[in-house]
Amino acid sequence: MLADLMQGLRVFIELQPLLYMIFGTFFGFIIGFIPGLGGNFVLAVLLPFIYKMEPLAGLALLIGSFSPTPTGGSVSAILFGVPGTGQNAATVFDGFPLAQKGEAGRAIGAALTSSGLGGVIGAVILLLMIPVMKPIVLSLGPPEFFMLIMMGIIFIGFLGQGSAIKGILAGLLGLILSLVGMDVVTGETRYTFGQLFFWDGIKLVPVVLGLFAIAEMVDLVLTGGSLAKFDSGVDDDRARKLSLAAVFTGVKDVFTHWMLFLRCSVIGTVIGIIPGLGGDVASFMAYGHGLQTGREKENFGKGAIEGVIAPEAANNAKEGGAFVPTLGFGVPGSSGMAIMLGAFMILGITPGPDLLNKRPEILYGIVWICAFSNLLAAIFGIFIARYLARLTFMRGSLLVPPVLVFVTLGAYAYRSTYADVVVVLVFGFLGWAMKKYGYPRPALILGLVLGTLAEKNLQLSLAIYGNKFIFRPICLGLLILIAVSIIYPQIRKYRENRKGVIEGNIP
Amino acid sequence: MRNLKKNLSLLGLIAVFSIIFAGNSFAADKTAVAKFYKGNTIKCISPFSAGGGFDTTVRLLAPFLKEITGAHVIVINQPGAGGLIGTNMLYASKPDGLTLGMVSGMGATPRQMIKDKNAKFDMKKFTWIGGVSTLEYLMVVGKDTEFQNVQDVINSKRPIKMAMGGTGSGMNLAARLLALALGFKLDPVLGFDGSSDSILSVMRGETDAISTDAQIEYPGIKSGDLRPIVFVGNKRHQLLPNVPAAKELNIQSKLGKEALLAAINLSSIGRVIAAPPGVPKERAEFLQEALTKAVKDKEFLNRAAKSRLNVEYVSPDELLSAITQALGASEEVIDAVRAGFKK
Repeated sequence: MLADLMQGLRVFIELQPLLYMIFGTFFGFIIGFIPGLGGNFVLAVLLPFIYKMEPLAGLALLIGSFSPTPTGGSVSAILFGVPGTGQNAATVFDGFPLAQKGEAGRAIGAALTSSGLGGVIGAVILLLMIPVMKPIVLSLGPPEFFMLIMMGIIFIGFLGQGSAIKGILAGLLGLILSLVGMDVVTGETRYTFGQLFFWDGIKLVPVVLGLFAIAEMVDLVLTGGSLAKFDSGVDDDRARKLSLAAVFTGVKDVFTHWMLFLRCSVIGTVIGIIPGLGGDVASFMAYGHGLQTGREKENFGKGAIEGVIAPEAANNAKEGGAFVPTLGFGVPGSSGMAIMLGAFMILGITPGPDLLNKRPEILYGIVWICAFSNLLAAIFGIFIARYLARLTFMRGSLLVPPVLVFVTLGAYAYRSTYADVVVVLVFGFLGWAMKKYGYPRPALILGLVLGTLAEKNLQLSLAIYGNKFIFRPICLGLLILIAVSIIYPQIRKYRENRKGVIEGNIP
Repeated sequence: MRNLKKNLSLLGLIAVFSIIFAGNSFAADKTAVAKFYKGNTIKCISPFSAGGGFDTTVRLLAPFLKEITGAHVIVINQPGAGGLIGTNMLYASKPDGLTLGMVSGMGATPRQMIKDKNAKFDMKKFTWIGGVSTLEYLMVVGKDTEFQNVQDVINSKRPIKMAMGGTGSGMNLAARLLALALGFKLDPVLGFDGSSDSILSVMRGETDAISTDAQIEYPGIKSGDLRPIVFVGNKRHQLLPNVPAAKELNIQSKLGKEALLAAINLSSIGRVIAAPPGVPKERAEFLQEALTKAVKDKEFLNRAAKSRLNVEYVSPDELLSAITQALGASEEVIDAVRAGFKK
């Protein structure tokens, strides 16, 4: 394998693929930064150019531009609360509050490092998984997905920031919103008010744009000043927060939380490997995991650096995972991978045993491209981060208009419809009210994303296995895990209280 | 006598002139249309999001249409409501010959068959430019099922669990028509994300079978995870010469024959380029001619073959006859289609 790996590297660093990858990486980073356009758009636009390319050059261009889109998207999520791609929605939860504290540089540093290295981990897992992937992929079906999603829904309760009831209420609102649209199983249209627009439901991207970007811009206009607050009493506070050193603090943060980073990369890769769960979920599950294992839960949603590291590690690692079933047996692990599969055909590569056994240089070339493009995008971003962070110190009156234009374009470009712009505005005011009255916005978003998936997979599970689906071994294991994660914190609290009573610390 | 001669030669002269003029005015018409398109912009609406099979087809075609018509061709994705939003939009747009769109035969025609009031178009009235690619439905079963061939499915005592996308999806309608045609009992499992998600379910052994595009199933067939059993068509599929075509099965019942005809008609409409109703005749002809040239272009065919796109040109007349036949299907067949939209 090592020899093949080196062969893959040798072919890859021949000038042409390398140049294509570098071009692709910058292109992907910038498209990722622009809201509304994501990885699938990049692939669809570049696909017509690869017909006459050598296989590895074509792959370098496509994978090089596809992989770093969530990296670019994290930057806009942090700076303006505008997720560049749907996968960056979870990054807004803590990345944006960090920017408001004036720590955009640090947050971007952490996000990019986590993205870049997460992408590398995804590529490494891809390499290790290929020989053993088939039984793993085939052991997980709708019942297991349903349980995984239920685990995610449990996280909502933790998002209350002190008031669990507010968290649960916001989460329930999200779940209710997820019911809008056509029920794919019965064909019933629910809460569509006779409008075709609502058939596809309320989508994540416009909701996040509204709840965060619009709400915060409204707030900024009302309070005045700049987005980022800094201590004007301290002379060099602003300069310090904008320095390269601040960005490197963020880089260091990832290494301080290296266990979290590793676990979230693995979560991302595993979700990527499982076709049918979709990319947006990876970053939410990782965020939930970070929250559940985090020591200072009350900081989440207010600018915890772990809340940036977790989703960003997962969303880049995910694509490494998504390559596993795509390369292994021609079943794409994500919608982007479905386009990638088309590209393989164009380049004359047939996924499956043929590729794995007869053309190792292609396989290992893909691993190298994945790893390098993720790293390159991160390094590029880290060095421009401090200049980008300046935007958050700009006067509100200068910042708000361009951000609003940015948000409107993003909302429109998402599905080329004005109705989404209206959705953004409605959720903008809802978000502003939620912020004012202390309801956690991430809980609503988690409810919205997971509600649709939970319903779909529950219906599939019931249609296939009936009520007995819950007794499938992996399902049962996950169910126990859910029970433990609800009960264990209570036991711990009880013990700590008792210890407190015994030691006389608590009156 | 002399007068007669004079008159005759005059007549001849007029005849010659009129022929020249007629020819000229005909040529002038053509150059006028070509002039109209040169440098102008043709919008091409794709009713699905970027990256799918329809999107790939239209993006593949666009540069060739550009070269032949001299106009800029831009692709606009207008996804939503299973393609209805884009198709409604195309039907309602200005018939100036500058707005084209992809229409999905399997997506749009059944809506009209069941008289869905959300379908704001009449398939018979579109200005058809031509079909680019037909759909190739192939029924496959999982390798561990007891079904070795199509007879096993037909004779099965238990209902066949078939994985499919949501209500109204092509996979769903194809499965229902196929079940009706072959006379097996169907147990539909709805709600998968799309073809790949459904294929995976068959591979896991949760469901027995699926009928979707042969090209998408091909990797699984090659690796032995999926067993192809019947191709929904009049002839066998070129990649799978050992798999019987549904037509060969000699279906006896009248209803079975009708259901199969409907399935084959709908898949032959496939991926079609259309313009709104009422495009001026000379512009429609110009576009139709451009499309026939594009789909015969060597480089286009080469690229299509590379992307495993099954190019099959269907003329506007053939389209209209397939649509008329499909819309005129018997009530029983339409009921089967309707079942694909509601549980």
